[in-house]
Amino acid sequence: MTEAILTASHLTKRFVTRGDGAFIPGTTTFTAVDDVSFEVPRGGTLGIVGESGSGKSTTARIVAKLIEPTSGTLEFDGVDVTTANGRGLAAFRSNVQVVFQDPFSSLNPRHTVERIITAPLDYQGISPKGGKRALVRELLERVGLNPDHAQRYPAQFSGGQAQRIGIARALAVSPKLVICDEAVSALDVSVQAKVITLLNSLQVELGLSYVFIAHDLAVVRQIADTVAVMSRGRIVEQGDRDEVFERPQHEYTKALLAAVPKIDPEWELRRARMLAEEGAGA
Amino acid sequence: MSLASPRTISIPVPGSTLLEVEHLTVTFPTSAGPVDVVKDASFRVESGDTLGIVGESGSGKSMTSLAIMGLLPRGGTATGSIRLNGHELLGRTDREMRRVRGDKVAMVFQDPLSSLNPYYTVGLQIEEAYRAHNGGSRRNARTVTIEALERVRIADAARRVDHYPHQFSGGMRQRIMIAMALCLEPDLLIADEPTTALDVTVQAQILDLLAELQRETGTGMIFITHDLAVVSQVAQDVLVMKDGAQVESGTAEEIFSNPRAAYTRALLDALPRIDDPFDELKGAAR
Repeated sequence: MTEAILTASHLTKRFVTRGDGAFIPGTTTFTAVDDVSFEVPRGGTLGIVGESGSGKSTTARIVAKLIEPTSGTLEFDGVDVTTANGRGLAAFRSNVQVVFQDPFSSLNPRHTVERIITAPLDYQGISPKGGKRALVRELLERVGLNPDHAQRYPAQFSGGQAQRIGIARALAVSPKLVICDEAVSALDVSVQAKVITLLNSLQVELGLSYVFIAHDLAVVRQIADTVAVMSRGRIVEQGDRDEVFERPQHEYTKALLAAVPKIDPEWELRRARMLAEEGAGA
Repeated sequence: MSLASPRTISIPVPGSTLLEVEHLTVTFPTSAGPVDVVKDASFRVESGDTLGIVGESGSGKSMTSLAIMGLLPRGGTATGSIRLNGHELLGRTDREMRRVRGDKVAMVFQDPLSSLNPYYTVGLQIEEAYRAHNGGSRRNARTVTIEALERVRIADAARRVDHYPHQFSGGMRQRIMIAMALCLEPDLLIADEPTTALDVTVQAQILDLLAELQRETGTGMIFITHDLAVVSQVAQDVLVMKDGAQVESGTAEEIFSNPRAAYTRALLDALPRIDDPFDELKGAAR
């Protein structure tokens, strides 16, 4: 078993909604995340899958320390960060970054790419060796964008390119862990495949760990090493990717896998044969 | 299972051509001159069959359906020919097209919440749509509405008919939109990404429902989606679009087992599979 970079133990998040004093009486408590425990393997990827309302995004927000859990603990790199604030929180933020779903709404449209990418550095008060400009060029190149486009604005990029900018921004502070919250969900399938390939190669080059949150099981299968399946705030099943996908134990996981639309395997086989023959003929 | 409809129902002949689109081009004026968002598209839909139109964003798949509905955004013009049951739709007045929509062609959109008015009960909205096209009494419209909700498997339809859109889940709202489309008994149903916003288990239910209703009614369907796996399950015929142009068309079996166009092949290669580890992707990176 590989060592864990992040360990979540018994995380629970309750939201209390107050009545409005007139029509909606009293207060109600909603448990969005219910006693959830998992580990993120160092240098590996934990995939969290679930449908809407499963609590996967709330879990992501707790792990990113955007919200605090009602109970439970979060340990990063051997340090309990559950109630970290001030300097501890700043240190955490330089190690853990987030890539969000919608690249355009998470990039300030009035800022240049350079300013967007260096914002986390400014926030952290870090001045990179060799200067910001050189770092921006390096990051843009790393995510497959033209380094000469640093002075452009988000609107001048396609959705896939904008998501690459979001990834470059996450990488600016040299984090150890990147949380991808539906990071490829809004992208066209051909663009999605390229961004997944990029995330996979960045992981190898930089030794990154990922928490990859998605509703799309097929996407999670391509990127995760271990998988946690969430439903109604709980993890119903977790384990090695191939175990979960090939030998699901929980009824919910089985139902979820069965519901994924698939191309007729017979058609897939014939296509594979045709491509192989064409390849052999060429 | 028939709806309490005052008009006679024309039983579509299975396999006869319902919709014939020839050389459809949709053009929008821009500051840089006119831009064709659909270029010379030709296809047909047989009664009782489903044509799947697949493409990525900007492929022109939604503009094609809006042209058929006569609902192109302001400034857009369509040329070519769109014949429904042999009758030309292009060049009709707004008034005539309003009769065609609902009577002949109905549409289900991606986001049911934005298609439903939050201030009115779902029942009232379906009743209004029904009476606008079929007239008749409120009482009859209400009966039709409850029957339609039952057909799309909304439990306790007689009570739920008086609920507001926000009281339904996303999947239930999409069922309501389908019920509204179906009680008009259209010859052609255009479904534009009807399951894209839904959870995968709910999507499976809606796809089953659409297939079942189609078997019952013999409605022809155009199913627009970016999801190749979905289209492979619902469509007999498939049209692949890219940048407004028709890339490839054929039966679903042809497109998925023997794709000719490089773009179709690339799309199929990019599709993440659930039942295949696809290790070359990860392997290449490692």
